[in-house]
Amino acid sequence: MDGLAVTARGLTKSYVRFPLRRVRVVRGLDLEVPAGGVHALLGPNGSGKTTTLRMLLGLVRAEAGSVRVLGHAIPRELPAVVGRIGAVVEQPRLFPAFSGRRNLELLALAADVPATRVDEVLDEVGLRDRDRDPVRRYSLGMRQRVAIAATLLKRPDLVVLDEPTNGLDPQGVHDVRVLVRRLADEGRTVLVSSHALGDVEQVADTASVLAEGRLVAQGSLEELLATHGRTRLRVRIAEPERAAGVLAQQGWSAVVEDGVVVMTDPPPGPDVSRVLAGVGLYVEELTASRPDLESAYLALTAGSGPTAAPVRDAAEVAL
Amino acid sequence: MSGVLRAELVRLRVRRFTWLVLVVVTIVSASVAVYAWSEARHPTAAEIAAAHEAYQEDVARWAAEGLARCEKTSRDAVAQGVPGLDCDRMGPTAESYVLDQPSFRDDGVPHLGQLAAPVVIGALLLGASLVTAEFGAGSMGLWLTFVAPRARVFRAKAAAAGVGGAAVGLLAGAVGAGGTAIAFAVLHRLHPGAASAVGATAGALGRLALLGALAGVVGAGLGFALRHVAVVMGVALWWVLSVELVAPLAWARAQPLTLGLNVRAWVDGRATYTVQEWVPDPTLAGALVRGDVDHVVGALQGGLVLALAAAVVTAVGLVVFCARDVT
Repeated sequence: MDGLAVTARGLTKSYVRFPLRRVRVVRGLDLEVPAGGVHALLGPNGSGKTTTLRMLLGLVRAEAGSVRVLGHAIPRELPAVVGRIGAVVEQPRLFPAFSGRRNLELLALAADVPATRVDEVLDEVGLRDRDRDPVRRYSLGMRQRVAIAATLLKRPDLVVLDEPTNGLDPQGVHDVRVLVRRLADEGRTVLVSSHALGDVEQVADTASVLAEGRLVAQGSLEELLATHGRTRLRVRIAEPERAAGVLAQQGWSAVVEDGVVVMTDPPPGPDVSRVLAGVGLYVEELTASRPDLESAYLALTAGSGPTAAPVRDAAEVAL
Repeated sequence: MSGVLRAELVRLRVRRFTWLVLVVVTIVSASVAVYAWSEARHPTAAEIAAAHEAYQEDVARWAAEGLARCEKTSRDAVAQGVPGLDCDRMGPTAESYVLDQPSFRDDGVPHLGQLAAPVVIGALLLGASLVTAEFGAGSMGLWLTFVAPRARVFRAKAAAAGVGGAAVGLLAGAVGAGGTAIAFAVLHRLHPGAASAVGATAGALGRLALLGALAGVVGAGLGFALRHVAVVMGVALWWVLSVELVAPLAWARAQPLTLGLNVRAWVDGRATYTVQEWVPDPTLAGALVRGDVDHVVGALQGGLVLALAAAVVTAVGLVVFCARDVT
């Protein structure tokens, strides 16, 4: 496997959208997920994360390119490897009329997993006390836990989770984060797509960043932060708008956010204080922040996402 | 039995829609028993009196004018070289006015053939919804991350749909046969041919169960191909209207290919259809005239056509399921 749990080369996928318009959502994507540890798949809405995960799982057929998961070509050799993969793509798709336990028992039966394993995974996700309630009465967080429990039934080598903290309360987010980290520490590979960059930063070892269906960066979190992360300086001052204008005149990046001037890749703090003092503006507080995943993500995906232009290219044609 | 099939059977058993279909089919099947009872019951005093009165009226009318008209017609026929009529035997007879003495075997069991339509509709819906519900809820993707290849998932779901359909057929037959038998027993008309009726009833139940199984599998195949139960029912309705009803009107020889005729042949043991053909003229040697000719479709032929149709739909469903994305 060359130390890689997942390898994708030149993955391409289009969908036909109303009215008969082909939209390419993944374009020549190369992806490498190291075996062991947590790998985050990041990108704005519409960047192709979920479609990519679906292609890795054989649910969606790639138009071009190749995928290898745990050393097996997908989808051709999926039957040989499906027992080693646990996955939840998008929202947990459970049978709403069945209890969480019944859902897990059915999946265990289908996957030839001993029924005793159901109790174990319910314990792992902390859902034993509500396991006999119908899933339709579960909160989104509880459904997410059942879905994660389902992925663990097979004791998988690769766990694929799509937005696992969506809709969870802070305690739920924390629990999922701990669970994901524990799975990786047990030697599994966890591939997780998420918008919660703070959570990802706390648990991920490596990450891939997608924008408009393409890979824009990939590597360890340290590498990504070193290469793409931005230092920020928050300047609390009496007249933030005027101060931002003064700083911008110096050629520095400065914007006002929530009444505070925020500078990206700023000069040394004393230089900022001196320039502002020169025009009669006196700094009340200067706070520097280290490069974080959010700044790296924003830098990498600038101009893409739902607020940007629709993801289209020459391949989008009227059918 | 594979784990995935067992899981599907459990899911089939606990689905509310399964029970809804079974309840509706039970009610419809019970109506057959009610109909059988109404036909098998002994005539009331009022009905006997009415029959007697009608007989007396017809005897009087025959004596007054019927006999004379018959004899005149007979004489005219003889004059033209055609055999005359036996008017002495053509008058009203009391036996004709006495209601039949129906037996369970000859008059009760054949009623079960009326259950073919509800069995087909119920099993088709059951099979289609078993599959389309998963596409609708998005749980097919979860399923496929547990079991591969897709053909295995398809087999399990189609088999479960077949089992469900067979259950619909068996239940319908059992309720219909049981209710009819009870009706005949209450009316003390079960005995004539009771022993052979057991075999006939078992045969009818088996044919209904097989019909339900095929319809369930077809429903599942259509569900895989079309993914929405409303679309499945729309296609089924289109088929009935355009192929089952209209096509035979445009081309009478297409009748043996219609599923409705073959269902009747399978359930009833035989079915007939009529085609206009050139046939020898009985009044003129060597000449041909257009006439209605009855053709018979046997149970075996009906069963084979239905099995072939189910195989085709199933194959289409499998190909579509294996080729299409699951989102």
